[in-house]
Amino acid sequence: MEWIIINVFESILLTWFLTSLVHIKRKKGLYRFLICILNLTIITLSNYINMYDIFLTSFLIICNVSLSYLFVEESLNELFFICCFENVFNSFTIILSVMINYIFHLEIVHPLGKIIYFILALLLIKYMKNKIFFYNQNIYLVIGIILFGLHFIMQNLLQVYLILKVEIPELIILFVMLFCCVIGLLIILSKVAQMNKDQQEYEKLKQDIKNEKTLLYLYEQLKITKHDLKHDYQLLQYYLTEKDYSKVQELINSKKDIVDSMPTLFSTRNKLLNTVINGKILEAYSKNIKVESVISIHDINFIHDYDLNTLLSNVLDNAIENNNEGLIRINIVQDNMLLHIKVSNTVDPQKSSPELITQKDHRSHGFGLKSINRIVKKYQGVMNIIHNQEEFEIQITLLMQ
Amino acid sequence: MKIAIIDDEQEFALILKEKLIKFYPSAQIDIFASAYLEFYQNQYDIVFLDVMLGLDKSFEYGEKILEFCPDTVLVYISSLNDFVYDSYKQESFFFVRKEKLHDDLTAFYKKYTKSISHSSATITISYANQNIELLQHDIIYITSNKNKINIYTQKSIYSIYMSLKKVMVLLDEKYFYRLNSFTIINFDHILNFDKKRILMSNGDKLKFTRNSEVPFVNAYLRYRGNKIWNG
Repeated sequence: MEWIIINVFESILLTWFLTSLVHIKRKKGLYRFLICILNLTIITLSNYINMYDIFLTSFLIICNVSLSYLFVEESLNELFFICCFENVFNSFTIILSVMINYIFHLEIVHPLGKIIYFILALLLIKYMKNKIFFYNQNIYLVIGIILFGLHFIMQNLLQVYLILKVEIPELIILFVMLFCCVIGLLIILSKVAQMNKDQQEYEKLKQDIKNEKTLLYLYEQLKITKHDLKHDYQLLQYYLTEKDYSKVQELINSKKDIVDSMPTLFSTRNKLLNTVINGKILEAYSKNIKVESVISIHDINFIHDYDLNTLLSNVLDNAIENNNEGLIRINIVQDNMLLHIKVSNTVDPQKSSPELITQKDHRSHGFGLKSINRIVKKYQGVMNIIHNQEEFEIQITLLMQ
Repeated sequence: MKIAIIDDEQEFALILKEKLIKFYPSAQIDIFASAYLEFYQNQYDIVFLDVMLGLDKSFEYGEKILEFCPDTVLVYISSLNDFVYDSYKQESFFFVRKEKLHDDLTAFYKKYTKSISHSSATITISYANQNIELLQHDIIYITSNKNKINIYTQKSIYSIYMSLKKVMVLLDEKYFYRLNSFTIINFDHILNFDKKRILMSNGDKLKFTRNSEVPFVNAYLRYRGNKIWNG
């Protein structure tokens, strides 16, 4: 009876851990129920058919990943990473409880393990939720495989201790080895995190170079305008001396377009908003895309800088990429407790894709919309996409809490 | 209908008036160079306000107008193609650009007509042995109690024999939302909400039942997003 209760608890904890770290896109209740039943069945059956170690772990991972893939937004690699991480975490809590039992001469390995699991998982979920750890999907797979290996080593060490009842010196050696493995993994993870950071820096630099190129383009345009103006003034002077006012009017009318075509840059109190949108306006301008904007905000400090940056950059990048010398309309309006964002753009039929994803980079297919969706969900918001052959429009409403 | 235009550029004000007459032929349209005392003596349905009246003066006027006449619809006019302000606190949002007057005015007309048609929609109920017509816009929320429903409006509470399901069919589902098995709320009368309750315009607080918060937030945000962009 005792082990059935422990199995039930283990399945509930595993389900809770897994479902807390993913973004469920449909039927939350059904998904949680199915995952819980699945895990309970596998764990209970494994007791009857003596399926342990690598087989049980592998089977659990495969079943959890496959079932979760139907209900959540994460990719297979991300799900594999989360499942392997859970396994390592589970093994770690069991080892911790075994050590505590050994030191204090207790006989409550399993209940203590579950209590430790619950407490540590609470902290871990809080830290890990809504975080993007790696921007490259392959890294999730590699780290998942490493974690899977680590879990296997931990399980074996634990069994060596439990079955053979080795004494302290051997146990210490085993745990030192395990500690070395964990340290090694941490180093690899920190390196990967550093690489991740470098990649972000690189992306930022790329954006800076893009902005600089646009500024240079603007400067060139300004030089040409200055040069033209010099001649225009001379011509104006000539017409005025000749009192040919109709020609003066004609000249003024012909130059009106220059003023209209110059981009209007923002200057709100939110510096990040200014930087992101102005950068994109300049980029659009350099590609002969017109931008019209309606911004009416008061205080948007509720949204983290990195979320605002990712959200607007992705939305505006999509609008620029799918455009061909057309028009982009940016609307951002704050309204009581809500922030409304609407970006619409004319569509270049050659670039438009029925899947609503950029065709520029096949590796990050759909990544932009996925990031947008993730941020929208984080702020309890809603997103609506309206598109046809001529226009694409994205409407986002975020809750300011 | 009474419309006011507050713009120091007389020439443009006259053009706007001409255009507005085409949309609202029977309307009384007055032009002001600033929001004088005389302006506040009239209750205007729509006020077109130039945003370039002076250092944030327009927004001061805007807030004042809405304070004195909360039912007035305020439309900001800008001579620039872009409208970028970060001190804007008012809830209603209409914006017309001088350069694209016809397009923006047409869009405003559509939005305004939509909101007017909603505010004049009614439902007929049988109350105290007579048929009463209630403006849907006036209904704050409806609760059910056994085989009766209570319709809460600003002025009174109507208790009638009817089911929530039946009354929901009579209401415009764009504005009304079934919060739980015993409550229907009017999205337009929500002042605020938090994790536990919704504050309605009459001061009543409606508690969320189990699992009702997330679907409500989703539906409300969709409604507000749709309202601000499409009217």
